[in-house]
Amino acid sequence: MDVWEVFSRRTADDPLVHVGAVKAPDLELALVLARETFFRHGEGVDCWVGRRGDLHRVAQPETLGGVTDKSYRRADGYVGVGAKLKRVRDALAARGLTVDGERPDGKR
Amino acid sequence: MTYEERTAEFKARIDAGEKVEATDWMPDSYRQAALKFIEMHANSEIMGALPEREWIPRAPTLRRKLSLTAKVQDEVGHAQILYRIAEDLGKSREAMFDDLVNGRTKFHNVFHYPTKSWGDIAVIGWLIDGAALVTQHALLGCSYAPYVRAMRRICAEESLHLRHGEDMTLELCSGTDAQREMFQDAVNRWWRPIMHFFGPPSNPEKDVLLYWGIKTRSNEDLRQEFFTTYVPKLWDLGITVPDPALRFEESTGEWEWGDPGWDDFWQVVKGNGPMTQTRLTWRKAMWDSHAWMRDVFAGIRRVA
Repeated sequence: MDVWEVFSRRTADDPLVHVGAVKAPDLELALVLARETFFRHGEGVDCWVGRRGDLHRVAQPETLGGVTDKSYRRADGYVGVGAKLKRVRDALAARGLTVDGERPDGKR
Repeated sequence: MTYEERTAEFKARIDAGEKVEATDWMPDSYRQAALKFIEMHANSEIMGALPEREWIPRAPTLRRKLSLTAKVQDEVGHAQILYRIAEDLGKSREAMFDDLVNGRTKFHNVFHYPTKSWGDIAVIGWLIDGAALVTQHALLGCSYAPYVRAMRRICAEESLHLRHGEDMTLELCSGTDAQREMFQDAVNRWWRPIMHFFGPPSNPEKDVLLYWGIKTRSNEDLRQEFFTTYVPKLWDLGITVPDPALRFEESTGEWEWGDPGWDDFWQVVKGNGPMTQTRLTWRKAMWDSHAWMRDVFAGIRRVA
């Protein structure tokens, strides 16, 4: 008997998320069991199953995203940009370089 | 049920805010509109990598070089995701590439211009990515669910690019007079293409993309949001906007803006932009020189 991995979509535009597995002799029963096991309370709007043997894991998942410093690819490589904007803005205002003009309310 | 009845039922689903999956029945008109739009987006991502790529060897520091390389990788990655989604709507990737490199389909107008200085890279990273983010955020409400899921990921990555662009901008604007002039010069050259980016003001009643909920906001609506977000920031940095007619009109709560030369826009749309042929030729050369790799992949499929 095969193990079938079960995937759910919580709302219509969500991605599929793995929610668990069922054991079933064929696809038809796998779908029935997935439905009854994981969706009784309306947990999702869509359900997919796939044979565990048809799904494959990447080798060395700990190397995903690289093993050297790749912070330039991530948000944490750019913390402080907001504060820098304020600093630069204030410095330029102090030098009288700001351009005057009517601005929408509440926006700066 | 007749085709017309099914179509009416489908339209009612869209109007009720329901999402469409690749496996759902859809009218031809919806499929064609969604395909054309997503294909154009994919084309723009893969062509949009080129203007910035030209500056990777000339980046001023190693850190900037790494960031710019990562960004170019992201754009190409977005194209891969989007072409896959477009393929599910019924056109093969091979056909889409063939149409792109032979000038039969379009890519976004801002990618038809040369990048003349490092200031251009700051403008692309901040203002053009900013304009793109305004339009892309509006697509999170799209009726085609696979596209929405892709856009969530793409918007997250674009936000990062925007941070990088803002950082480059601040570096230049707080730098020497020459650096500030370099940035101002880049803004002066790119402002019109950015206005073109949002498209001419159009009649929302006649927009098939709005009709099917593929787009949710009009060109002008998005342009106004861009002004409100970026014009005051530019002014704060002491940068002038090269449109003498641009002003915020308090009584209407809208920005007024001047003619950005729509003739130039239509020339670019027709494939006559300053860099259109150069970049398409380069892309075609890559497509042709990598044909062997597609053959290898096809061979693996046959053997397996």
